[in-house]
Amino acid sequence: MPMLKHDEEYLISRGFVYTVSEDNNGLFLVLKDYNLSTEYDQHQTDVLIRIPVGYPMVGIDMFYVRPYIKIAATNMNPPATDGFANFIGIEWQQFSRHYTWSPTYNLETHIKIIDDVLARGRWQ
Amino acid sequence: MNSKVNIKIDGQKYHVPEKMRGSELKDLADIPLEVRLVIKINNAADLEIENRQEYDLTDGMKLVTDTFDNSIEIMIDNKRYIVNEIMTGAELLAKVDATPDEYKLVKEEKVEADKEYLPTVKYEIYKNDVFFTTLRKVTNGGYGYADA
Repeated sequence: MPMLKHDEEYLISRGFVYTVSEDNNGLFLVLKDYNLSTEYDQHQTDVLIRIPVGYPMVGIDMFYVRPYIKIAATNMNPPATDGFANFIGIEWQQFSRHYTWSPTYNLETHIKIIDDVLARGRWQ
Repeated sequence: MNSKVNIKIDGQKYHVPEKMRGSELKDLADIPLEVRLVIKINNAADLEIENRQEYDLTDGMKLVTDTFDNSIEIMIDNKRYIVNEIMTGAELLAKVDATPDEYKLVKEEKVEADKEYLPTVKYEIYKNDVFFTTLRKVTNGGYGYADA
């Protein structure tokens, strides 16, 4: 299952360094050294996005980070991030963020939500 | 009491005293003294600024140099767009083919908190304003999968 061309173009336009691996359920896209808001206790983290088989008819859901991150001011996990999941041999902190998927959405739609949560610190 | 007014010089906003000399205005906007600067006046000829003369400035006054590029370039979602000086949130969203019922438009602020631009409100747009869009309805937790 290859990455869609416009998704690759978007990642390149954003200057992301990324890796892609695959299993029977789809792709694991990892954005390397994603810059975090100062709301968090880390400066950077890797971000994993699962791109399921059938995408874009099937939607992307949630995202995952490693190293784990906490809210700097409270040393608490951001809301709905207490779960952990093992992908590509690594345990990731799960950001349980959901929305109703539309086939008109794409990877950019999902990364905008990640930007809002991680880069702008809107963890609420 | 010296009150202040908001003016624009070559599209940049400045908060300035009501009275300033031409040379002070140019200095403020980093314009060489020899460059021609005019006050734009509706339905009338431009008024050229003299360096030594003091001017009564009023809120919303616009001054431009001859070389001023009137186009307003902004960023939405990391892409550049040329826009008008006054636009609604919905009009800005339309630039990125997004609708207000699905997306919200937020302006990045350097000092204050980011500000949502509402669909039907008209906003003054400035060069190099930076916006981003994001889906309106995103929930934390509740459903999804946590498989390993």
